[in-house]
Amino acid sequence: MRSSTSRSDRATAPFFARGLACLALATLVALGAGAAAGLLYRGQPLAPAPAEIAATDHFVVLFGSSRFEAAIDPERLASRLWPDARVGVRAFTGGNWDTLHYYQLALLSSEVLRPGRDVVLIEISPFSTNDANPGNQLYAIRPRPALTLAALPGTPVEARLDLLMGAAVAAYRYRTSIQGLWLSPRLDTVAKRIVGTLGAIGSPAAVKPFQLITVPGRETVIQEIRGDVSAFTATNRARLDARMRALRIGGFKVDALRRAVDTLRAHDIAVFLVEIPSSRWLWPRLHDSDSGRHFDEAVRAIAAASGAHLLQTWPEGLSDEGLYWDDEHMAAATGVRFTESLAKTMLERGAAASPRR
Amino acid sequence: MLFTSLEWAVFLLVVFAAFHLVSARARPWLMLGASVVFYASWSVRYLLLIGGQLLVDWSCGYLLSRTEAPLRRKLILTTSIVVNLGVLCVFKYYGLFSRTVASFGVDLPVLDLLLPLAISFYTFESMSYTIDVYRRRLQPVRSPIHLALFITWFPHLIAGPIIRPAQLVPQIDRISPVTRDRFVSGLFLMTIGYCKKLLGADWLARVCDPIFADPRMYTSTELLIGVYAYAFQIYLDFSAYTDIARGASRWFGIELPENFNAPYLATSITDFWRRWHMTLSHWLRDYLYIPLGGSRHGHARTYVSLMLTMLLGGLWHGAAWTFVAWGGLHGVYLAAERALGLKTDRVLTGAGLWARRILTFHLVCISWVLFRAQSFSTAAVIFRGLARGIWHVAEERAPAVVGTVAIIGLYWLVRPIRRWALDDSVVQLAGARWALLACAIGGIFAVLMVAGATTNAFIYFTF
Repeated sequence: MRSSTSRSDRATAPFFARGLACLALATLVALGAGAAAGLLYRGQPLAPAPAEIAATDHFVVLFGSSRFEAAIDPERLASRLWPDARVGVRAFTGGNWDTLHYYQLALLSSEVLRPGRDVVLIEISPFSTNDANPGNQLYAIRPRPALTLAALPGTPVEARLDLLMGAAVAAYRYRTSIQGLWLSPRLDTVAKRIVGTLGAIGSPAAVKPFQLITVPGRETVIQEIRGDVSAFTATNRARLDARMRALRIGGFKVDALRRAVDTLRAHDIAVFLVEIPSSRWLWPRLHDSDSGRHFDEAVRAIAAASGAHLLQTWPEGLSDEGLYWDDEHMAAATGVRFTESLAKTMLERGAAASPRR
Repeated sequence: MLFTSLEWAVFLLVVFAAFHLVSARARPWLMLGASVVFYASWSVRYLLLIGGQLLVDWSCGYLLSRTEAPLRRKLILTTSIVVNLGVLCVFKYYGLFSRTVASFGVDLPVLDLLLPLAISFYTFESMSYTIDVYRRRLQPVRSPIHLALFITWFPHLIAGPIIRPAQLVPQIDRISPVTRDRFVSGLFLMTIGYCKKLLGADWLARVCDPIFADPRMYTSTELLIGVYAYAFQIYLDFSAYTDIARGASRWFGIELPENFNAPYLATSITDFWRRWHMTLSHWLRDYLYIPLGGSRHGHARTYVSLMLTMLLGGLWHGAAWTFVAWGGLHGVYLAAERALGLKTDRVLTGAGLWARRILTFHLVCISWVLFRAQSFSTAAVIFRGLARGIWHVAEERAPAVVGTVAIIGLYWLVRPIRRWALDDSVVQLAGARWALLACAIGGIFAVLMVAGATTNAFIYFTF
């Protein structure tokens, strides 16, 4: 039987080495469990499949945020570029995605796209090159490009660690999707059943001043705003003003965009940098500020150095405020118009000049 | 760097390892260096501000030790207080002051100053040093390093606990490598803190944020749930920070005081303030309430002292009149309890005990509405909404209501685990079976990785 003296000796003896071992083991267990749990979840592919590309004459890939999703009809665009050819198209878009994501997408897609035949459109905007938003949605980063992204000069330490953690542990990478798509719907159903069983369900205390009606299957594409549109616009413009004041352009996010373009251009893939138009209220506020000027200079320099096409000028008619539901995202009907205008502009820039197989 | 960031985890491990690899003499320097790096990760510029205040207070402490003349001693103390409060007022309260006088037509220059992180906390600690030296309760700290470490010790720098020099400075001379019991209990404290924050506070934030943003949209039940959600959000958030701070400090041989003792089991507001943010309430008692006269000069003076203390305590929390009103309401509660003889210390049992607890909890919740609301009008909308008596729940809000009840219920069920985990026998057993302990902790953090809400900053970081 051990004596209490020896027990108290052990309690007060230095424990550093075993403490480190304990922490190392705990970390391994946490990472291992997270990696194993993540294997149960299949993330969406972030590059077209080689077989998918091989079955086409040309392939169009879009990298963008919700602005792209609202403004561009990918199938319509692809069919306008090559009306008589077998054309494939994939849009890799996500709400609040930015140039870090586009760099990843470029790294993944450059391995499968064909030089001289396929085309990439990358969404550009001061919001998607904002250094003041460093850790934005980084859970969508996949393992393979994560090291390259984490090595990007100027990237904040926390963003680098986030990328590496996401690369190593699938559950960490997909946690927002797991919560949003798997956990929350189930918990919501149970909760509604409980409250319904208690007979406590009733109508809301007040009618919302406005309601956004989305296009079925496309959450960021608004078909209609019902209710007090002016209340929504006023609230939203205050939010946009705050976002614009917080913009910081010119650091690692611009570098990520440059590297994304360079990666694709190194494989001789045609790149179109597309800034989606915004309303007459937003566009001058965005571009006449210091941040806006830094942004314009940066994208012009990237386009000039890489041979990418820069598309920032659009017909005046596309600035009408009524065409946007929040000054930034196009309404569904506007998207059709814009897609036609985009295709026309791309054709003028020689997008479809590549020879057919 | 937030305690819930990966950067913090790496930083803590690196400092922990370095602490045990350097010599005993170098350890205070390492700890100070780590604290400087920690604060600099937020702002290098404002390090100069803390440094300046430290220099002033160390100098004042030194000068106090060199003079016995009462007038000179008072002057030295006044200098320290003026510098500390002056900095606090300029950086934290000038905006409130200028906005208030602007509403009376007086325009003051705009000062575009970023609020230094943790200024409220370290200013109070810094002042307590010179005041205690002045009162001869403390010998001046010889080494400016020790004073600097007392103020800037990184686990507690941002949001407390508010410690006294006599609590921490002697420990610096005795810091030693981590022992089994300190390692295990520190790890338990940190794990508990992370569970409170990521599984409790941050999820409750998602319930109450939209409610406080636009309370007109919610029924009485939904508003009530929002208030309860906030009551537990702020408690879990702040106590989580304290647990993590205390747990991390134990790894370095520093024992920080408890800051909470089951505050929502209080049987009176007086009792609540003996259980909530205890280090702040002790500071206010020792450096404000008692010097104002305390309860030694009759009822009227006592009530005035109570009100002033609580009003200033409210103002300490934030540069907004709603915080002052929150403090004032607690002052009214405390004065009323005293006047009606309700601050009872007698032992209550059974139904009487629970009735007092429930009443006290709801009085506190009323004050939390003022604390959390962006404005008095928002608070008024909430109170009117609660009084409207619409007691159903909109279907889309059912998850928020059930989720809040579930989190609060789960908290009460698992609360005893904290006491159990920190029991000496459990700590010793866990230390002896450290591999099993590691697996258990790793499993918990794997769950936090998936189920934890994406991070919100700790509430008290804004103070």
